[in-house]
Amino acid sequence: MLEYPCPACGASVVFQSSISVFAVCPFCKSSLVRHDLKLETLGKMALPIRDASPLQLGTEGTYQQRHFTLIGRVRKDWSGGHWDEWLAFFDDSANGWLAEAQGFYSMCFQEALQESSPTVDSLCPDQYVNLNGTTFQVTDIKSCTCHFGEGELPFICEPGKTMMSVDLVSGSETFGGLEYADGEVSFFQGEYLKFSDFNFKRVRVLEGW
Amino acid sequence: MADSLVSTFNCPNCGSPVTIRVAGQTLSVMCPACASAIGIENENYQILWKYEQVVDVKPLIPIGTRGKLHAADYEVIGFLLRSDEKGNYPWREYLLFNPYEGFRWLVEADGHWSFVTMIKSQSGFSMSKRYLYYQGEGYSRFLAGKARTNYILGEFYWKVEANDLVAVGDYVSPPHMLSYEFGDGEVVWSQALYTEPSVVRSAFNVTAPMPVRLGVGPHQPSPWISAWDGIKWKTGMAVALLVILHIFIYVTRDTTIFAQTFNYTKPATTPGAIEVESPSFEHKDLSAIEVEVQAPVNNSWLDADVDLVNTKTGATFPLSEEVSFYSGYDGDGYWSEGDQSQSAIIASVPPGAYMLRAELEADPKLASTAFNLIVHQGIPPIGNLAVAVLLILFAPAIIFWRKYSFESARWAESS
Repeated sequence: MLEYPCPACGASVVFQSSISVFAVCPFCKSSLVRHDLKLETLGKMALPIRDASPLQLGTEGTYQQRHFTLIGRVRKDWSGGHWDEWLAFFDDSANGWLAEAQGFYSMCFQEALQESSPTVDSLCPDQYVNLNGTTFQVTDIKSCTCHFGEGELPFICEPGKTMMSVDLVSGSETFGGLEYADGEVSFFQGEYLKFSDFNFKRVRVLEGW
Repeated sequence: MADSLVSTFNCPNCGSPVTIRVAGQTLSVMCPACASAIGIENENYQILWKYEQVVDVKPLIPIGTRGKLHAADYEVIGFLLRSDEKGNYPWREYLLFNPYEGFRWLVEADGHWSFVTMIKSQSGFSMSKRYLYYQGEGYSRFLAGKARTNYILGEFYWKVEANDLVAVGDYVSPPHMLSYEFGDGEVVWSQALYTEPSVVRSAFNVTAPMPVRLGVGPHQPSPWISAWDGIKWKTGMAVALLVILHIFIYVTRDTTIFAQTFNYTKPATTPGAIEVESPSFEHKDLSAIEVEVQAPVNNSWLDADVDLVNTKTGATFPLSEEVSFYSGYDGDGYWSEGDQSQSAIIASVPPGAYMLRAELEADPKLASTAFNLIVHQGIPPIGNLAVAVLLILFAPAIIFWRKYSFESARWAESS
């Protein structure tokens, strides 16, 4: 864990995960990039006034009997709505991504692709692709835009940046995802789970619920 | 500190206050006052389209009602009045929301209710297949058609469209149903769980009468399947036990109460018969009696009209037996036909002293022969077994028929 003073307001900014290079100051909402010894200010992050997500920074949960804490989030908008990707920091220092959209939850982990990846133009829904030894079916291909980020993240979160997102599924629970941004492709693999599977603690308290 | 998901603003068209219950997630809401569809994007409100007139549609479960259904609390936030393309078959869909569990649908068609969850994680589904497999269950195609949205109330996590027409299809595996909706190049699959009207009624505290259930729902679980499964093995075992018991009684019977050899001699006139009478013998219990005629005939026949006569009351039980036996050699070797012994059973003969009176007629070629008359008691009549089996099969047959009719009614509505 590393701790820095925010160059904008002086508040303490914590980096729990070693992969994190970006953070939003919890106090003044400045976007900050981590360099070796100090933080650099990129600007202010505009956070939404209304947020219906039941999760928040600091929410704890378990996945396969391993405890994690949500330490960062990036929201992605698409033409039909939005979803959130939460950085789950495990007690053993592993990093996972908990995706949440309209009550659907999945936990996935980034994996290096063993073979060259298909280009996004070569994919279409219902098609099958082999990735790292698993046969996936393409369920959805959509363009999305980064809306905002908060907490700490392993990349520089630039609101307004567009990327292509491909949803994949194998069997009835295995989830896969390909993300195309800046000419690079990232591959994630995990599974769909129910809210109750995570035994969440410190979820948002929502009035009346 | 608790954050509120509720937000209120004024309709950009008519100025009436509009409440949204899932602020931050809801992308469109219908103004209850002017029936405008209002799009919501980052606190900006704009009219998407508008119904020509406000229709007084009153959902059975009003928007804003909360209830606990299938282990979680849900609030009704949206309502769709839908039908097939021509508008002949209407149904109603309630959008349910729980901030932690997400969205569900409660669908009511002909008084049958479904609790519907969208499926994200599926592979191998196809709208063209007749059968689908999901989570270890096989689903059969029930129908495929088009669905129109006729009227909308409340709020939704997408931008609602007026007169939305989509392709829909259902696959059933009671109590579940898999459904697809295909429109705008995207297929959405969902799984429905058949939910009893009484469950919906108590979950949402519905005080108005529930819509009457018409026919059998596509995925309504048959009450007769478990009844049939429960009774079929018991029935089989009961019938098998009876048959075994019958065979056991038959095989172990040893109750010869009379046996005697008589002689037949061809009478002077042909055709003609001779008569013989047996001495009296005792029949102890009320039971069936078997009278057996044995004659060593070969390539001839002996007809016996035997009366079993009660020596006290004169009650007579007549029976007729023909002993015939033919045999010989032909190109295929030895052959034979018939039997040198015949027997007949009289059921429920009261106890008492009896005798046999027999009138015999034989093949005219037969000059004389010895023959035996034998009487057994304690014979289990096959009719008793048949009646018992029929009685045992009565209830299972009704259950089987009800189960069959239930499935026929279900599939009568399919396409």
